[in-house]
Amino acid sequence: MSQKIKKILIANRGEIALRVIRACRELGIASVAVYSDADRASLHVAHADEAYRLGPAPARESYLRGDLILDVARQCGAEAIHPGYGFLSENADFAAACEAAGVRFIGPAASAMRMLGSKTRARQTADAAGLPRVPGSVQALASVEEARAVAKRTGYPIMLKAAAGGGGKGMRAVRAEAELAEAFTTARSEAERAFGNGDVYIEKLIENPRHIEVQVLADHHGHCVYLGERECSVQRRHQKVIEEAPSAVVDADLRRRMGETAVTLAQTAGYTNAGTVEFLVDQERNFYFLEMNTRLQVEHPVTELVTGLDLVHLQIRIAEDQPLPFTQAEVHLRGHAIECRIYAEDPDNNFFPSPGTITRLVQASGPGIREDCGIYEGWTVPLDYDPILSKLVAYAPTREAAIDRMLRALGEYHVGGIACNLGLFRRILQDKDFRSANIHTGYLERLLAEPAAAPQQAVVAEVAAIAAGVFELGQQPASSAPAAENGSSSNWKSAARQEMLRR
Amino acid sequence: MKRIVEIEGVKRPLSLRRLDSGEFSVELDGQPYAADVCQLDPRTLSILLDGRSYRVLLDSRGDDKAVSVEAGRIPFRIEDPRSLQSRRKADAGGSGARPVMASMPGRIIRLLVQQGDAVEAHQGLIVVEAMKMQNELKAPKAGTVVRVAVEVGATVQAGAVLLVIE
Repeated sequence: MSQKIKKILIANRGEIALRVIRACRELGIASVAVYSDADRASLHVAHADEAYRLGPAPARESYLRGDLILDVARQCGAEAIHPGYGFLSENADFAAACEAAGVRFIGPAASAMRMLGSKTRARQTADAAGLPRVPGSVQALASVEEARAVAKRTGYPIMLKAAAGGGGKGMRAVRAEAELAEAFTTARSEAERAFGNGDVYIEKLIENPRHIEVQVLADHHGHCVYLGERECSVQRRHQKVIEEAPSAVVDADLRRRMGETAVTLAQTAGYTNAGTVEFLVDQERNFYFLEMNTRLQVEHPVTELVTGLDLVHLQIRIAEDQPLPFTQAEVHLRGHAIECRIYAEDPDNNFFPSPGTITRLVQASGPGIREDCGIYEGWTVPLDYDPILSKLVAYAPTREAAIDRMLRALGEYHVGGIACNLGLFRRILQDKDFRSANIHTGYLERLLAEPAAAPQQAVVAEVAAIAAGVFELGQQPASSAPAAENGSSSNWKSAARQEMLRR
Repeated sequence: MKRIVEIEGVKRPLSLRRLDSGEFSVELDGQPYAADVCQLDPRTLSILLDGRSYRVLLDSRGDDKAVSVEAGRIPFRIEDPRSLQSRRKADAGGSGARPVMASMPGRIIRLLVQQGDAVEAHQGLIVVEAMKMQNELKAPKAGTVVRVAVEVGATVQAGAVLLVIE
């Protein structure tokens, strides 16, 4: 029996919290934000209908405090919690605590999350369903010795990966046994810090694969559909940088086979709500199950644009026990969408994070542009969380047109005060290999190893020099006092005079 | 106004005069420029040069001055040819001690050296974590660690001195 949800607590921050708040408003559902001390001035707090403080800035004392979040939900009368991505979104204990407290968790049931959310359990589930997966271990490794034995059996090069992982954290490529012990220790400690669980396992490293993932959606009435694929092969250190839908190498037949595999996996685990099944696709277009993300993905907008669906609306409807309002045959892909993840990091300085105050924000608009954004001019990017600022998405009839549209939008976009990676996207989108879809997960590292593009044209330097002078003039008193021109020898005196004039 | 503007390592004399009409008379490298400069707001210019239109944004970060034009950030330095101050500044700091500073706010995760250690240039000194990323700071030159100013676990601000190499 379907039951309308009237109030949703969003257990997240930044752009994704705002994305969910917007969906709530569109559906006439009250939204409740929660925030840490670092986020009182964040957009999600200002946009929500209600907002409550959780605790200090560190996520462990705020956004990861499931107990506090459930207390807030009970006290404000929220009937459901949307976890967004990251934080508690793939925490089965939290999902179970919600179920026990009678609060709907907008995502899969804790049992399905346990079968799929842990990467090792997901690999066991894939084996049970007879699906192709990447070779390697299906259990967490107890010790370096065990890691050594499994790696030898699998054959180098291998990947060490966090069982509870995501976003490239707790992940290390190991090419030879000599590197294994140190990689094992760092991967474990990174996993422990990022996910509160240090379990790691081994996967065979497939050379130059494409990363292609399938969006699935399952209701509580046994219906499960796939909504096409997203290609996320442009990555740096296993972090996705650009995502697009559809993939240039997936035809209707491959799409159906990958989609049906994803649906089989979801149904084997009793999965409900939105989820993503990730595959590696090799050069012969064989695909291997990699892992399942049991939540809404960062890159969900590209799927929304090419399917015309709103995934957050559908997530909420599913949580209300409504049946999916369409069948697989009614899912059609149209056009092409590309997303750029704008981060507060400096591509010219080894991608160092650059927290700080955004002194200026000029956003792109015009045809076919969508932006899911969590920042504003004057806001200070906290150093406590992932430095994602915004997701810029371009939609057009073809891949080529979408790329050109994104380039146009990037030309309009400007973030001042802190470094960000806008220049990186321009470089990728103008690259011949990217434009001909000749990409794989090692593509970006290779591009970055090449020298950067041609230097500025001389005329641009002239324009810059003139502009520098005009801006400098603007900071001077309007009627430039000729005092110093009269041969005053003391800098102290002229400085004092300037000081006076400024007042 | 007469200034020296330094862009991409080239110092160029620039003379600017605001006319009564609000337009600017521009001379760069001693050449007059027919540049039509319109200030849209205190941090945005529209410059028309030979019929081409450029949107130029002031893009400074603290003392690090720059403009953005054609989606590229171009750092610049500007000095008053009458002022000695900038030259004096450039002459300072030639001594043997070199501080290693935090380039961003963060947390000290590991110290890889102790006071008194001899270090090679580019040797890893200290691991700082910010935004879940660990970054290893390296020695700017060979020498001896004469001071370690922080402890593991400490939170530091950008610009904080972490240790000193002499």
